[in-house]
Amino acid sequence: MATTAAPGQPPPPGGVVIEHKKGEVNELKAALRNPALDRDPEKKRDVIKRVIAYMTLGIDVSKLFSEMIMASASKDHVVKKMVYLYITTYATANPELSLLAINTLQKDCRDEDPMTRGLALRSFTSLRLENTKEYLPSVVAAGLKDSSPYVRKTAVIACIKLHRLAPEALVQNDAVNTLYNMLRDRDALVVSNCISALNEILQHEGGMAINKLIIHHLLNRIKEFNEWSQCVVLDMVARYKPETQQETFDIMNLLEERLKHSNSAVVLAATKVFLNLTQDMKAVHAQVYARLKAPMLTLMTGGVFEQGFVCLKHIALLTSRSPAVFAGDFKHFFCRYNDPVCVKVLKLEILTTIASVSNVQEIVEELSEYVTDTDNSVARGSVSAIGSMGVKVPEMAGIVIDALMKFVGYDITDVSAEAVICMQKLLRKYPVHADKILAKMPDFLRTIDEPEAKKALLWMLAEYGHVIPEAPYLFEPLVEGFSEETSQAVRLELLATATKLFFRRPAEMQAMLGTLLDEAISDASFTDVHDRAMLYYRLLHYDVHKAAIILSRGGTVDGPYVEEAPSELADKIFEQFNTLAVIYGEPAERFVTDERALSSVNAAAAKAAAAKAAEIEADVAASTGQASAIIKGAGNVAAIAPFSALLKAELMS
Amino acid sequence: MDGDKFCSADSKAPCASPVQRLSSAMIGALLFINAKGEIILDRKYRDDYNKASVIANKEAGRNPVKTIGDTHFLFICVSGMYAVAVTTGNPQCATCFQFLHQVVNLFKGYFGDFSEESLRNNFVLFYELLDEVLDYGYPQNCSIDVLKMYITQEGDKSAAADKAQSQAVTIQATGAISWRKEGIKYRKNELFIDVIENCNLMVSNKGTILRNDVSGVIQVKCYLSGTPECKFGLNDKLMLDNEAKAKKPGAAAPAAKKPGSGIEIDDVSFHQCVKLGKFDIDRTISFVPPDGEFQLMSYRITENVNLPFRVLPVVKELGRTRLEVNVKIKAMFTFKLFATNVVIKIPLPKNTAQANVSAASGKCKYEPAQGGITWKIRRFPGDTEYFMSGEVEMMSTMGDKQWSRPPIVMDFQVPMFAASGLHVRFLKVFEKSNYQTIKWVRYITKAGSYQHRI
Repeated sequence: MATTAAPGQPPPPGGVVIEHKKGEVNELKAALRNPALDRDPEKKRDVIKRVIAYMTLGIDVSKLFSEMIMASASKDHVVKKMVYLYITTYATANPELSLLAINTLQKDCRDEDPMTRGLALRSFTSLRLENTKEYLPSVVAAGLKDSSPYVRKTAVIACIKLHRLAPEALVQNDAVNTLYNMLRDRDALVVSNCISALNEILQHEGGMAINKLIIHHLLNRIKEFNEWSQCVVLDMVARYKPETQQETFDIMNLLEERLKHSNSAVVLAATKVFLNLTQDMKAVHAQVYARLKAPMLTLMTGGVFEQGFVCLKHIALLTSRSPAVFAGDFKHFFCRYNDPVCVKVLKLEILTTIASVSNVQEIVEELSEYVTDTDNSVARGSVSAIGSMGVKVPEMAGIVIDALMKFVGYDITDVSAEAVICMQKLLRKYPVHADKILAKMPDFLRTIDEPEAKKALLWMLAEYGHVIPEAPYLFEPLVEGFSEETSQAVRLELLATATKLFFRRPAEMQAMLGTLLDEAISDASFTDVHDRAMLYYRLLHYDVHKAAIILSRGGTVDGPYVEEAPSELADKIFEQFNTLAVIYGEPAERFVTDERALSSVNAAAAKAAAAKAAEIEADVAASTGQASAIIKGAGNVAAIAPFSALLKAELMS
Repeated sequence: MDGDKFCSADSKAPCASPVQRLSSAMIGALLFINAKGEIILDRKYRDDYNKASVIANKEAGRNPVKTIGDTHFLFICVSGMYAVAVTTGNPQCATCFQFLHQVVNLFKGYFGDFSEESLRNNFVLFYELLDEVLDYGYPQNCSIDVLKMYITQEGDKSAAADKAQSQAVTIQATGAISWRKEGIKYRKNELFIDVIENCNLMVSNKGTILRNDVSGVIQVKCYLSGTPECKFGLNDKLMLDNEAKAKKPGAAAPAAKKPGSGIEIDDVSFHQCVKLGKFDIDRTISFVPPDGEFQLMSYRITENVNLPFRVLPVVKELGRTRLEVNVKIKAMFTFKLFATNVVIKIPLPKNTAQANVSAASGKCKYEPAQGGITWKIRRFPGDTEYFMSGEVEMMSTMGDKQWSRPPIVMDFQVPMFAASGLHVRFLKVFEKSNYQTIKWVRYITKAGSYQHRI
C-alpha cells in the first residue's frame, strides 16, 4: 500500500489508490504555483502543511521540490521550518534541484534573527549532499563565532555533520581547536555540545582529550548544565583519572548531590563516575557501593517501568561484582505477580547472586511461590535459581535439596525436570547429601521424561550405583527403551551409565551392557552414539582393568564452577556502565558494527578494510566448513582419533 | 578505560586500541507507533533503518529494548502508543528512556494527551518540537516552559522580528535557569501542593508482610509572579533533629524529642530546580519553581508505614471441585476519613463453573473475564471492617496444572491520608514584591501494588 512506502522511495507503479494520490499531488502543485498564494500567508501555510502531511503518511511528494524551494523564501517561521524539513528529507533524491535551495539557506544563515540563523544552519548541514561541501565550511565557521548561543550550539553540532560529509574540510578549518577553545563558552549547552562533537569527531583516537584543567572547569559549572548536558559532562568525568586521592574525594563530594537528581540518566551517569574513580581504591570502592544502594533502589521501585528495568539491569551488574551490598535488601527483589516476565527473570538472577547464609532460607521460601507461575521461564528459572543458591552457599544445600524434592512432587513437567537437573549440580559438589535424593530415585525415574533431566538422573544412577542396591534393576527398563529413545544426548548418557555401572556391579550388569553395546553399534541413526559405543567396546576389549581406571573416575567438583568465576567479559561490560552493553550483557563490540566504519578518519578506507575483513572471515568460514565436512566424511576413524589419543596419555601415566 | 593516557589537551595521545568506544546519547531517529504497529510519525536525525522490520516486529513483548540486525530499538509504551528511539551505537540507555518520557510529557503539555489522534492533528507543531529537542541525535532543551516561548502555533508573531525578544528567547533556551522565564505575572498568587503516595504491600499466604513501602511524589502547581524563592519543610527526621539542635545548642538531647514526630525517608530525588547543595548541608529544600505544574520531589519510605487496609483472606479448597472463599477487609485509618473506589480482586481458578458470592456492603460478583471475583466498595469509612464470603464450584478437569493461586489485588484511594506519615510543615515564599500567597496542601494515598497471597 502506498501509505507504508518510505519517503524518498518512489511509490510502486500502478494501483488505483496511487493514481488518486497522484492526482492530489498534482493539485498541490497547482496550488503552490498559484501566485495568489503569496498574498495569503494563512492559506500558504495550509497548503504546505498538506504537503508535509502527505510526506508523513509516506506518500512521495518529491515532485513538488522546485515549488517548495520557491516557498522557502517566506518570512513566516512555520512555513520555513516545514519547507526545510521537506528539503532535508528529499534532498538526497534530488541533488541537482537542491542547489536551488542553497542560495536561500545561505541567505538565511546571515539573517538578523538568531532563530532563523540557527534553523538555516541546522537544515543546511543536514542536507548530506556532495555539492554542499564547498559552501559548508565557511557557514559553519561563521556559526561558531556567532553572537547568539543558539546559533553557536547548532554550529557545534553542525561540525559533526560536516565531519561525516567532508572530514578534510574540518581539518582545514582547524575546527577541532576551535571546539576545544569553545569549551570555555559562557553558555552551558554550547559547552556540552562541544564535548559531544569532539567525542565523535575524535573517536578514532579515543574521543576528546581530557586533562585536569578541563575537568575542573566542567565540574565547577555542572549546576549550570541542563539534565542532558550533565549526563554528557559526567560521562567525560568518568573517563578521567585524578592525580591525587584528595582530588578524587573532592570530585566525589562535589558530585554526591547528583545522586539525588530526579532524572535517572543523571543518577546513573554519576554512579558511573563514582565507580570509575574509586576502582583502584578497594576500601572506598566498597563504600561507594553502599552509598549507591539507596538511589538505585529508588530508581528501581519508583517511576516508570522502563527506568526500573534499566536500573535492575545495572543492579544485576553491581551485585555480580559485590554481592554483599544488596544482600540485606533482598526483599526488594521479590517479584510481584504482575511484573513482566523479563523483570521477573532478572530479579531471580539478582536474588541468586546476592544469596548468602543469612538470607537463603527466606529467599528459597519466596521462590517456592514462583514455581507455580504461569510462565514457564519464570517457573523453571526459580527452580534453577534455588539450585544455584544451594551450590553457592554450602551451608544451605540441605534446605535447597528439601525444596527441590518437594518440587518434583508438584507434577509440573518442567519444574520437576529442572529440579532434577539442579540436584545433579548439587551432588557434583556436595556428595554428602546423596542419601536423601537417592532414596527417591525409583520415583524420579518413573516420572521424569525430559531429556536433560533424564541425563541428570542417569548420571546420578551411575555415580551412586554402589549405594543404591536396586540400581541395575532401575536401569533395566531404560536399556530396553534404548531403541525408542529419540534424544542423542540421552543415548550417550545411557551408554556411559551402563559402562560405569558395570564396573560397580559387574555381575548384574554384564549381560545388560553387552546387549546395549550391541544395540548401539548396530544402530547407525546417530553417528556419535555409534562411535561412542565402539570406543567403549574396544576399550573393554583391550584391557578391562585399565578401562576401569579410565571410565570410573568420580565426578565431584571441588572448586567453583567456571560460570561463577569472574571473567574478563564482565569487566568489559562494567567499563561500559550506563550503556546498552549492560542491557544486553555484552560488550559494545559485539552488537555495534556500523559505527566503526563510519567513525574513522577516512570513512572510505575503513569501509574497504571492513569489506576485506568480511572477505577474510568468509574465507575462514568456508575453510572451517570444509574441515568439518572432512571430519564427518572420515567417519569412525576420525571421530575416535581424539579418544584414542587420550587413552594413550592415560595409559602412559 | 584508558582515560589515563590523556594528559593534556594538545598532546596527541597515542591510542592503544584503535577503536575505543565511547558511550554517547546518540539517537538516530524517533518513531511514534500506534498499537497496531503503524508508524504515525517518524523523524530521522542520523541513521537509516529498515522501516519494514519495525512493522514486522510490532509484537515486541515487554522487554523495552529490541534489536533487529544492527539497529537497536528502545521504546516506551504510553497509553497504547509507542515512542521509539532508534540507534545503531551504544548510547546511554537511561538517557534514552528518560528522554522518550520527556518527549511524551512535552507532547502532553502541548496538546493535552498523547494519542494517535492528537499526534495526527498536530504533526506540524510536533515536527517543530522534535527539531528543537534533538540535534543530530544529541538531546538539547526539553523544558516545556522554554519551548513554549518560541514554538507556538502563531509562527507569524515570532517572525514579526521583534529582535530583542528573539534574542532573549535564544539566551533563555540555552541558559542556566532554563526552567523559568522572567516577568511572569499573576493577579492571584497561588500555590498547590499535592502529596501523592503509592502504597506497596506484599503479604505472604501465611500473613507475614514481605514488603511494605511507600513511593511518593510531591506535585506542585505554581502560579506565582516574579522570581520567587520557595522554602519547603517536611517532617523529615533528620531535619527535625537539626532544628532541635539549632534551637537549644546546650541541651543536646535527642531523647527529648517526641517519639514519632519525624519520619525516616530512605531516599529522595528532586526536580532540577531544587538547590541540592543546600539540602545536603541542612536538609532544607529551597528552590525557584518553574511556572505551572511540575514534580518537585519523589521519595521512598520503608520504615513505619501505616497500612491503610488489612486483608484477611481464607481460601479453602474443599476437594477437587469446591472452593470456599472468605475475605475480611479492615480499614486501619481513622474514622474521620474514608477511602474511595475500593476494588478488591479475588482470583479464582480457570475452571470455575459458578460462584455464589455475597458481601455485606458494596457490589460483589464473579466476573469470568477478570478471572475472579470483583468486589467494589465506593466508599469505605475508616476504622471499619467489611466481609465477603463465597462458595465456588469448579468443573473437574483431567491432568491440569495445579492452580497457581495468584494474589488478591486491591485498589483504593484514601484522600487526606499519607501512609508514610509524611506531612508538609511549612512552605515559605520569598519574593521582592512581598505579595501574599495562597497555599493549598492535599494528601492522597493510592494503592501501588497491594497484593495479598492466598
